[in-house]
Amino acid sequence: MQVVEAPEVHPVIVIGSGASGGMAAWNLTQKGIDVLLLDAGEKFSREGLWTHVRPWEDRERRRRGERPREVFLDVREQPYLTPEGRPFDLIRVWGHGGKTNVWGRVSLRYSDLDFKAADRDGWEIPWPLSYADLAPYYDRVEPLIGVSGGDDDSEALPGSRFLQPAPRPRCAERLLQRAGAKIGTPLVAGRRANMTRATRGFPPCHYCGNCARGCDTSSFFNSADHLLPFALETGKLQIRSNAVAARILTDDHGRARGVQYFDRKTGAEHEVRGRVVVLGASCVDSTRILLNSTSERHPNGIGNGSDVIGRYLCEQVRVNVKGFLPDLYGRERQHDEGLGGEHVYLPRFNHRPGRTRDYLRGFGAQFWGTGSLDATPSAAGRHVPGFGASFKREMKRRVPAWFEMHPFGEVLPYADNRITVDKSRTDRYGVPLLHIEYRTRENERKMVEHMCDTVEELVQAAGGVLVGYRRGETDGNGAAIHEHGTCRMGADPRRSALTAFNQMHEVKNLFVVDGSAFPTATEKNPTLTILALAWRATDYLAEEMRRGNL
Amino acid sequence: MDTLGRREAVRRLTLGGLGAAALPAWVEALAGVAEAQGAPSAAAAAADWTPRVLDAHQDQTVTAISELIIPATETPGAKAALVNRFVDDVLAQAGEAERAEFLRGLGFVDRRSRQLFGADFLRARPDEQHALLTILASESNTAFEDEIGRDFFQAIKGLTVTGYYTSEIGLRQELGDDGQVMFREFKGCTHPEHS
Repeated sequence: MQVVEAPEVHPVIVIGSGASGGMAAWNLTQKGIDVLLLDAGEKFSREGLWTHVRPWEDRERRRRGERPREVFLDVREQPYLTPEGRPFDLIRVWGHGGKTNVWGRVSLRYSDLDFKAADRDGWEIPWPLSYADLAPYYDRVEPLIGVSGGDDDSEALPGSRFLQPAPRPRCAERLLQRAGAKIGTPLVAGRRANMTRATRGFPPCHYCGNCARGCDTSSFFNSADHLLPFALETGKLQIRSNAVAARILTDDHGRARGVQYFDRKTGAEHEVRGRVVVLGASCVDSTRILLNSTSERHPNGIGNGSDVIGRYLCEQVRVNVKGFLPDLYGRERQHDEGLGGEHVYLPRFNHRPGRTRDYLRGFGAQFWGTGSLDATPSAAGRHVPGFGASFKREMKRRVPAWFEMHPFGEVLPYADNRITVDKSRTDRYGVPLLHIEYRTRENERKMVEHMCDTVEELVQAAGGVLVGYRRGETDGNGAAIHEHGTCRMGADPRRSALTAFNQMHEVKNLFVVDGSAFPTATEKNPTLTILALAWRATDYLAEEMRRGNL
Repeated sequence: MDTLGRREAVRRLTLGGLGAAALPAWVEALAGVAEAQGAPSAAAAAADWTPRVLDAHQDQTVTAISELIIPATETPGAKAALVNRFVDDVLAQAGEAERAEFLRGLGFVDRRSRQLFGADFLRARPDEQHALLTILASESNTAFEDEIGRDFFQAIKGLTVTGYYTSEIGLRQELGDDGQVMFREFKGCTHPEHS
């Protein structure tokens, strides 16, 4: 097939428009740098989200053959491989804004507890930066994207200065908070990128609770509405939609000279040229692009002389428990939808004085699903015994008492938790497919034990009962949708692929700004840190360009 | 805490006992279809509605069982909420294997009813119907011969609950939802005794 090659050399090509690519494009264009942004999809419609459609209306619409907006990539369009019997749930969104269209919005700053973990315990490499390096960027990201939360800072969860007011907790959350305080594992106000005050022209949250379908009013941060339009306003941004990036192209010196992509609609192969390439296609897809970018200078994939790219895939291990808080039996039904997730958070505590643990790193806990929501009766029903009028009465009595708890723990980086590409299996464009090999181990097993102890202690202190509880049962691999580690940053080029500014050690004009750059997963949600790192990296990039170093 | 102590503490903490039994895969699969709300509407009260999966006898049996699970009280029950139509929709969307398991269970209910009462479930007396569902709902009934029926009961109970409590009758009339979906502020917990 003929390759469509464009002679123009773009100052910067950004691949991907989610949190990382969107931030890169926004920051660079604010600084007057011309950017060509490649995205594998299109702008999603803000129509048809069905966020305010009640369940019975939902079914009625489906009966008429209507469907709500769908953003997730169909795995049949872009398959990936896993070893027999070891599945990995890979959730991808190809389209403007990527996963930020439907993300969970939990926005927790990392602290030196996270950045310095490997310095303390010696497991794999430390981050090449500290909280002090990133704090100024957190300070800027939070007002930009509108994060609500409390002022209850700790060494595990610092930096609340720029947060908007947190919504009040639900009844069940108050009871869990009281129980947490009683047993020395305090719950703080949740921190979430739902705006509770009008921000940059966007109205505040209207508490419909259906954020997982997207937001009609853009009252939570998503890159497509909060970054890309402002970047376009500068006149410096050009967006190319349906451009499925396949490879970073290199010159004779091994430097990046452009990007090969395929048109998702026509299948046509294109090449675009750039002085600098910024990769932000999300951890797993970015890794695939890097590993497929082979050349004489980069036989293992671009910038992979160290053989770290693809390795150290770290996600999070998660336990999901559910139950009732009998103190709330028989309460009147409340409108508990709120921010579409919990309003409280249990920060990591296992490192605190007087605590011991027989594993490395830590966990926190979230509580989504708590309260009386549209989906609550359906979840609770199987745990209310019997049938008939007494069952119906009991359902009404118990639904307001429903709670859920979801501890998230760090999975250590392991060299053989690994993404590779399989040259014998290709996608519709002829590009080798991903292969994901991932399993959790003894450290995670012990951590899950401690998570379960914590759940049991907290629920006991709250006078609650657990339902359907199977101690030690965890969510499927990949279920947290927090992939990291496969193109990690570090001080030592033999053990890492990127500098502390997300610049490739081996390829100075290639930056990788998504979650793949994280040396560790931590127990926290990564998007806030991805935004802060991408901002910092592109500040550096712009400065290096100005100095003539790129 | 030692292992025994821990097990006892957890047992006291859990409803349904330690290591609560997982539901069979086909029951979970049907619940998944129902909860994804992938089922086209049951709410459409079209007079000319005809089931896509169930035959007339099966449809009436499902209607009767669902009404026994969530009966009309001060508020309408599963029958008024057209839960049978929801069940038929879910079955139409479900996989072949799950559909077959459900229909097998439905057939079992009639067989067991004839065995116990000499009549199909629909023709059994109300107290007999109640007695049979009690047998199938019982957690202490571990008889091998009732295994199909116990699984079936969990399946139809789950579908009835989801169908009913996602209907306007279930959410608004029974649970008292006022239908408001957008709010200027989030009130949260206002009870001083919870702080």
